[in-house]
Amino acid sequence: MKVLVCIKQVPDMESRFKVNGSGDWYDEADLAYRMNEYDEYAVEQAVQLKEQLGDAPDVTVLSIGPDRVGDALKKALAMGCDRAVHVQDPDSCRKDPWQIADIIASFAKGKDFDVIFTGMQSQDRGSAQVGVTVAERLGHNCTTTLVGFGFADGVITAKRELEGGLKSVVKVPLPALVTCQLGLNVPRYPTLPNIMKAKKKEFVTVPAAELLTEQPAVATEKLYPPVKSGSAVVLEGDLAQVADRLLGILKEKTTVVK
Amino acid sequence: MPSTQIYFLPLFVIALVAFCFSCYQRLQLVAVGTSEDRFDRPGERLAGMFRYAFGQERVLARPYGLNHFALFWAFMLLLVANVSFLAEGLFSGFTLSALPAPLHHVLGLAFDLVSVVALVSVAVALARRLFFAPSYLGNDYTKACSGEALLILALIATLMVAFFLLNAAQIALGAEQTLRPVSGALATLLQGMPQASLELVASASWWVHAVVLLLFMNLLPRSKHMHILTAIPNCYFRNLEKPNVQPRESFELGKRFGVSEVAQFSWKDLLDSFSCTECGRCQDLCPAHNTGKPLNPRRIIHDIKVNLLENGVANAGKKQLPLIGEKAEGTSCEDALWSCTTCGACLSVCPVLIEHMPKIVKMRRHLVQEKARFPEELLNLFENMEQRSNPWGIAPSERGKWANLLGDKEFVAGKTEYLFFVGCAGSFDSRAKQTTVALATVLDKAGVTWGILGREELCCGDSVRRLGNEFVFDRMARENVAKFKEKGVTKIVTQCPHCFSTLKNDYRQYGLELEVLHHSELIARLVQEGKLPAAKGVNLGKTLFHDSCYLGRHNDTFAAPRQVIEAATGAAPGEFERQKENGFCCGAGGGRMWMEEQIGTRINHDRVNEALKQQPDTICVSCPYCMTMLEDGLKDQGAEKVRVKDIAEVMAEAIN
Repeated sequence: MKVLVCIKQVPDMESRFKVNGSGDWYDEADLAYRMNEYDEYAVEQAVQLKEQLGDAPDVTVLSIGPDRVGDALKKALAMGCDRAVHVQDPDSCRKDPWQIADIIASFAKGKDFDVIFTGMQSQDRGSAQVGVTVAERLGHNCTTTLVGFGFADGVITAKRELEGGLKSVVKVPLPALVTCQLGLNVPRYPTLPNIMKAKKKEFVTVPAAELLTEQPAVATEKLYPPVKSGSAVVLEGDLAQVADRLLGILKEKTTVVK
Repeated sequence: MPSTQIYFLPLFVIALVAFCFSCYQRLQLVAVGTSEDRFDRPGERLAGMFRYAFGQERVLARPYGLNHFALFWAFMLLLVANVSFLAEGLFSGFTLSALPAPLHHVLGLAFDLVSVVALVSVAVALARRLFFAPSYLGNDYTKACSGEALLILALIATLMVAFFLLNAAQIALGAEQTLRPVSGALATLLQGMPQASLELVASASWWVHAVVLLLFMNLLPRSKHMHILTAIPNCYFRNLEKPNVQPRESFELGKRFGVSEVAQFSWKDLLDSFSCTECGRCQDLCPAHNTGKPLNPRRIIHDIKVNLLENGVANAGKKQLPLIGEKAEGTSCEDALWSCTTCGACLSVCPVLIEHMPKIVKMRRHLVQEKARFPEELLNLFENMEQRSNPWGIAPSERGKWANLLGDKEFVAGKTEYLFFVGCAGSFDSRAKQTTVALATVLDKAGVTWGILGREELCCGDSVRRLGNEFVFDRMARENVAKFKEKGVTKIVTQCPHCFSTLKNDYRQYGLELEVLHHSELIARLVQEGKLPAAKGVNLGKTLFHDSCYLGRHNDTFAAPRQVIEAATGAAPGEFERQKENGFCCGAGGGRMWMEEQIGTRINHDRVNEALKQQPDTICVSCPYCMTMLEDGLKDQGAEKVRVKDIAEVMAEAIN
């Protein structure tokens, strides 16, 4: 069995974001990067599948971006992936989801991946389109927002999170692509021997230009912080007075207290 | 008694061979451990050995220790008596009376008197174990009144009685001329007996003494009384570094990390296990043990010994009996290892200088680094530390924000004397930030120039190191040391004892030798030098000072924070019942700050209740962790009226 995990490196969401000079993305200076949270669930699930099948599957992890994404790939290797592919692209943030999916699909074509794991979406762009587009391009079955994963006899049993708190269970035969959601698993903390071993694992770098075949489908016109609407009121001082003022505001401005 | 030699010689040889074999076996077991250099600075080591082993300094720290001291020195003198006793039995014609008469007489008198001392000590020890045993003598694997303890006491008593009877019979027979008041008094009782009976008494006593002596000798290496043989070398090979900083690890492919099998401990760790006297003092002080956690430092040492003996030389490297796993004799459970606050009470109280806490950290290293098995709360902590270099995971850009109102406070070598290493708590925790500002005020008032690294400051790594995540600590330490060197830092002041101790002591392993001061030391110095304005006096009501483990016990800084409080308030602070060396941890050290406390009662409640007995108005602390733990504890106990204040706040208030 061959497994592919697609991951993205994103800025630490605790960072202070500023719009960049050209006004189409955030300023990357002073940001610390990490693996996209949802992709961590994808890596973990791929490694769990590998363990379930007695180490048989070969797990490739792929990431597109500048040199720094090597750190995220190394973490995935330390978590248990077998080999890494770094699609070198210093300008990946300017590629739209259609092109990113195109790069992945070009890479995966003809390599017969039985299962592809991706995150549900990235924490920075949040389009949630890459996974499903890759599936479409490869002709894989696809199911999204997984919060449960089982595999037996060539069929994935996926528990999906739907809107309104509903869950559904779907069975998907291979080959398949699944996108992973919070709650699917707890990503492992890499052990030190595995961190050491990861340094010796295969790590291939491919220029994005070799894989990219499509023009962008959408272009970013402008990036800006949301317009401030209304302002917060901070109540401070004596607890009893604060409570009275809060009650007053609730009565005046809302319908919760009658 | 010419026949004595014929029978005694083979008996002695058998006993000696058996004894040597037992010792050799145990020595081989100790040699299973990994190498560790404990042979440096012989002068200092010898001095310590005399102080702790022969001087029994720590044994005497508790009242009952006097009894052990008496017994120890009685034994030392009787060692001479017994060597001569054995020589008399082995070589016809050997006798102490061949010595110059005055020396012979002095020795005879000394042996007689010292035997009384030994007998009295044994009686006291027996009475203590039977009638007024302290709670810490026993625990879940041994009782105060254990068969072994009683047997040893009985054997010692028998030796003494037989010795007296032998001497008494010989005095009565006219064969012994030295002045022996006790044996002499006994001799007058035997005076009326016929010569044959006296000879029988002498001969029987001699044999009883001889057999019991050989038995006792062979019992030593096979019981907790092994400490009689190992305690002295254990004191010699003690850790000379204070505080006891965990060793560095090297991170190479194929290496093992931490300790999961006894053979991965160092030989000194294993010698420690044979040196435990089961006195229970560590258990008595341990905050985890005192609050119903599964950790007992003495049990950790005991389990290492049992594991080593059980697995033997051949299996010490294999996991026949696991070292870490389901709690059993010879196996420590993970919950026990995670309960340690690394407060160091066990280290500071052990009479034979056993190093409990570093062994716990070594086993944690295995769990974290090789197994990634740790309480789930720590997953977040480790990620926050790795990603944002602070335990809360707050954006690093927020670190220097507290100083925004003070203007440019960047550290510049040459322009600012001290680097104020604010620490994570002082930078991010809203309560600890008040201490930070207070310290800044005090330094400014004293005219001390200081600067911060702001967003460039990183976590010191204390928590990750004590939690066994040495790999992450190693990176943090290297980055910090490089930064200090790059910035030309020569003097550092911290407001957190954990930063203080890590920068001052742990970083020495990374070649950093700077003047690192805890704010209590710097403020006390400024007071002494008259650099601070006169304190107007603050009314804090009844104060109590709570010792931080990493400032006090680990770094022996007990006086400075008290001096600061006294200078600020005009009166020395009140003291907890358990204070200074015997201080009780707040519960946050060793990375416990970031973990849930679900087993037993809460350590901070224990400490707060101890304080509340004295009805204080203010508890003074010198550590942001203690601040959090005590404030939370007071809230839980419904005693929010009692304030908790850092000594810097107290001083800032007094001079403002």
